[in-house]
Amino acid sequence: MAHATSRSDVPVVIDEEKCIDGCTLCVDMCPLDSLAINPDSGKAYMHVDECWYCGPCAARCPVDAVTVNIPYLLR
Amino acid sequence: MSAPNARILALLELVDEAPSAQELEPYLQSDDPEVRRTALAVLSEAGDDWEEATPYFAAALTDPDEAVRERAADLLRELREVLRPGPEFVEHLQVATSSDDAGTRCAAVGALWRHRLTSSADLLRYLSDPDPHVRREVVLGFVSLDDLDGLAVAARDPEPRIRIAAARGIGAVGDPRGIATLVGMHDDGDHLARAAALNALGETGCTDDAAGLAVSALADTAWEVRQAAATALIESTADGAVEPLIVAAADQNLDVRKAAVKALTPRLSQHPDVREALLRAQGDADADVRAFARIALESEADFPS
Amino acid sequence: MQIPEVSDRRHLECDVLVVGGGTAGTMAALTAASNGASVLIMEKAHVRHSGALAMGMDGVNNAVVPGKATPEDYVADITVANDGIVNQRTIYQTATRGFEMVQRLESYGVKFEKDEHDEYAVRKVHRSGSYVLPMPEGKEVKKVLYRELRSRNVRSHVTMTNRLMPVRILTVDGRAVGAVGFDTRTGEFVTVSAGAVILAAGAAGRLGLPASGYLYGTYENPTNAGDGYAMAYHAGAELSGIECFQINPLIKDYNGPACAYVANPFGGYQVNGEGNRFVDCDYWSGQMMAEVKRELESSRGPIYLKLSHLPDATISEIEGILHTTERPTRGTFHEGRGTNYRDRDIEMHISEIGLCSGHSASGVWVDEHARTTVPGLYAAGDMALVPHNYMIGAFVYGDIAGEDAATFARSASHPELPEDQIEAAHELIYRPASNPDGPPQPQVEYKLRRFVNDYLQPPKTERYLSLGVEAFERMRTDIAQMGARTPHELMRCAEVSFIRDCAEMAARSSLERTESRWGLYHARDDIPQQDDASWFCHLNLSKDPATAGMTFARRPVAPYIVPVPGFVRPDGVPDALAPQGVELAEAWR
Repeated sequence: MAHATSRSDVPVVIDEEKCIDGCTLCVDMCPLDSLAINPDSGKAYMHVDECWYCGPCAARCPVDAVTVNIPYLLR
Repeated sequence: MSAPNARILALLELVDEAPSAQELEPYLQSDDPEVRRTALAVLSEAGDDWEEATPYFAAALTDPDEAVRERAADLLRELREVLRPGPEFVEHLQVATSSDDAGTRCAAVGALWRHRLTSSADLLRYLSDPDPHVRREVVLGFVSLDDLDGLAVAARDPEPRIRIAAARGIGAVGDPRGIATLVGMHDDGDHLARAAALNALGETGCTDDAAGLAVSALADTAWEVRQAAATALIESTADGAVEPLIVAAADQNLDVRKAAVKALTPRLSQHPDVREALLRAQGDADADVRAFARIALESEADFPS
Repeated sequence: MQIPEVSDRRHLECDVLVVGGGTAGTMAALTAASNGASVLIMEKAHVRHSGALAMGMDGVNNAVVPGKATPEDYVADITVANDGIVNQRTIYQTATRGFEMVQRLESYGVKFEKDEHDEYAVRKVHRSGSYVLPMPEGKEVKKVLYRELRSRNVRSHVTMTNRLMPVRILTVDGRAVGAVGFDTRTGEFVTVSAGAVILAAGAAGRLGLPASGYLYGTYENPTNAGDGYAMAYHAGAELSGIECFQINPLIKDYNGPACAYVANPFGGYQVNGEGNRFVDCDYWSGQMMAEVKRELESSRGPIYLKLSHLPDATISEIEGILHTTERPTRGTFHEGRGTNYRDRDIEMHISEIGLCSGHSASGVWVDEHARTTVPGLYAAGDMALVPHNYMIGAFVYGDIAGEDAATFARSASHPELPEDQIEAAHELIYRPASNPDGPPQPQVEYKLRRFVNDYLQPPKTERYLSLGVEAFERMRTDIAQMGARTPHELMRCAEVSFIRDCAEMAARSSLERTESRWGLYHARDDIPQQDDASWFCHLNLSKDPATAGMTFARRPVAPYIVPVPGFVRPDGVPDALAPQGVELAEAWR
């Protein structure tokens, strides 16, 4: 099967400056499990565009590093 | 990694261990405000022994850092049902009532009255607070104590929203002895305060004197006042209200019409004109007006007088 | 990824297995544990923020608080809202136990609105019935439940497994004996042996495609993909009322609830484009939804939630609730559109279709003890058929299921698990990994759910529904060819199979009930009349053990135990006595 790489605007954005290396709270809490830790940086990121814009990731982050935007198609 | 971040990580790892307040003590006393703020959150997530934990939330209200104080204020509200107030808790709250930070004073007064730890005399003292948010909490406290005298003082507050809260509070107490204060508000310069006073008459009962004022208010320029006047008149049996209410049932504002229809409902059996007004209202452009007119006419059919 | 052998698996044992750690599931676990059972919660997300209450709840829709309403009023109102097709005994439980549940939740720390005198601030939102109890600070419901599950008294009895997704309930001789699933992060294969199983897996909320086209922009939490409906079906349980779809009014595009129950007590209301309120119906029902749809499609559309007439301070108070509780990103959405409630009313629409007994009346058939038709299998919450059961009903039925299941499990054997069913589940889970280049789940799911919209969205007709059945049969092939490369993708692929099962059930049930009923929920444009002579009954479906196809049965409406003023039963069945004496005491406990 052919593959194409296409960009997607994902709703959850992590401020890597603030994000604590080693913390996985947002990754643990996401109901859709759409966040992961980037092994290179140790920081969280959105690994799949699956989002209910519900907000535990942002609400629970101890250092306010997570922003939940409305998914592009709904914005 | 910075030292505070390492402390936050260590804290988060504790969450699943159900740590006691004592175990969290070093974090709650940390030099770093983010650590202290997270420690409060962890204590609220994992709390088991509320007796032990309760004073910490009150103590954090006077934290030097604003974000920590805000978290403490939120948690005091959130945890109200599980907190176990003791002398230490009260002491911290009392200190917080004289804080420079209005948010802190507001949270402290709120926690005190919600836990029934304050008196009318204390509240009256807090009522002189320069911040209206604090005074609004005080008004709620008066209501909790059914303190109509305190509410009468608040009803003369320079800030309209405090007078509105006081009027609502008198309604919530629901005692006819509050009517005098409400009647005194009939010429309040703020239309929402006038409306609040009239709405409250719907709870305290509406004497004939009050009904006279409510009838005049049906001609107020503000729809909120006209709506509230009709609401007050639901509780009145004054005959003079019928005609003005029939006029109000054709008001240009839908909420005024709805309130007027509700006020006409108990008068249906006594006045033939009311039936006609309700029949007209059944064809109203607004569904709520139609429905309340329909309900009124149907219930009369069920229980003919 | 590496596919594990069928035999290469983690095996877990418990008395009571709870599938789903949301509203009903956490309560089921707490009660089962307090009845001495060892409990395992299988949760594919994380219990702390899973289920319909991921970020809390801003109000209770159905609290029968003494002094404000009576259980009899409530049961009668729900009966009327469902055109009479209800098992009143199930509703009676929610009516009579709901208040005790409110108090229990409060003792855990859940906040319900109380006035300054510490009395519950029950609101009258509809023209009949005072059942709405706001929770302006209800954002921490799951925090409280999670805290309770880890408290010293409970934690030794309850094991919580996060990111563990069951796909099938295992049965032996027709009894539920466990489940099979996998770890959605590691891909590990898992079997569970249990004395009793409680399904509390939420609504089938990822069924219709939202108008935005975004797969996860659903009204319901999109993790609630109908897993429980599909698992109950394949375990042989009966489902009922599946043709009675869930459709809700909501904020257009944002697709979250408009929260009339929050805004209306403050003076907000819903209006049409001409500024008039338009809903004539007195209670939440399919009839109300039909009125909403009619208005949207008329020249009076669109419809709005109107707040702009309210004072600034009131609007700030409403914002304070709506932008922090239940769906806090609502503020972000309005900000992005430049919508300020003070000068612009909020455009509303209606949701895609779903299956949910929390809001309408479609789910797994249960009796008043939360028992399904499969021994040892219970259902609670949005997926269990107790009409309009909402949050309090989910808690009540979680509690009932937890207690009954703990008793059942005490004497239940733990037979050897059926290897044929385990192998079939293994195939269901891992097949996409053996075909990693197959069409990816987002494309397959989009196509499937677009067919749901094309053919199932009311008004329904035989022709469209039949095309729907054809499309969903055809999608079996697409699903068989779907490819996945990670355990996470396997989770989504399994969900697509659940969505397909639910779509087929919805289409076939809608075809079967040859009449229109429940307003918009089952509006058959080709048969617009309600046919009480043939259809004043429940329509139940189940999997035929012989053919593995879907079969239907009609169940009569049980005699009412509460009289319904103004409603005449078309079948003339006389009312039974309301529960009394021991039975009543049992209901009230």
